[in-house]
Amino acid sequence: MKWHTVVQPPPMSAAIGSCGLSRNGMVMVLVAIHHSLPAQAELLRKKRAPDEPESYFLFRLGFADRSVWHHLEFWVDDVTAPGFLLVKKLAHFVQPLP
Amino acid sequence: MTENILILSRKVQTEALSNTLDSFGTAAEKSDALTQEEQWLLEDCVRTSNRLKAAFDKGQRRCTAHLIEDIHEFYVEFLEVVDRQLQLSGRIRDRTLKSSGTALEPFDLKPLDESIQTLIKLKEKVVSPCEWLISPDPPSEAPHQSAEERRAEFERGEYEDVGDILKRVLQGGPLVKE
Repeated sequence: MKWHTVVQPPPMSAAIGSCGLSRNGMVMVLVAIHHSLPAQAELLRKKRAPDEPESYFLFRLGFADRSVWHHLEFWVDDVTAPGFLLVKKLAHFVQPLP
Repeated sequence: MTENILILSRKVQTEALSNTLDSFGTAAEKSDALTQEEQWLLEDCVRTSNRLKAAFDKGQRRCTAHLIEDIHEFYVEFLEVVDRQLQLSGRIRDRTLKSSGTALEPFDLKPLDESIQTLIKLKEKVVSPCEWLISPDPPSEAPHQSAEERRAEFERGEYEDVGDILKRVLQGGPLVKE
């Protein structure tokens, strides 16, 4: 199945924007959501979100940006609209670089 | 099994040095040639340890996002390489100490000891994120939304294609459409 990734602009885009990422970091996240997420969806869908497994799977990204380690965890709804991945929730964690 | 070139390359080099050490055997007979090879092996081991550290430091400045699962796999395999390099360093140290008694010039173990300390610190650095990456995630704080609510939002066209957002941002526009 060919998947398309969509987000709800006010809550989700704003959530990504509030992670304190550089412009390059933000682009990297968008590229990952736009390309890597649909490309690996079949594999990723097996890892369901523990709190709502019937609705969401988890897409977890890690990278260094602005000398900090960022860990972004997206809840992706793959059941509401066939062929669409609805990126619904985001948890963001930071750690100092090892 | 990883296809990461850093892991593969470092692993092969550590194994090559380990094989070189094995090839010296337990020969009691001492020769200038053997002493020279032992000295070079010691130097190669120090160089390999330092490169392992340098490769890790460079990797920490990576600017590509990866899946957490892939990063965890990388760290686990990297730890394995560090462990092997530590074992090798210890073996070379033992061998060199034994040989020092019969060598014409004593071996300088200081660089090797320093590189062992570097590897121990590197290992500690890697173990911490490795554990953090697989720690259980806290539950989502976002409010629960029913399937019907999500479907209604989708049908009202409240979602935007991420490709369009990406295009807009790459053209210098805002993340959220004004």
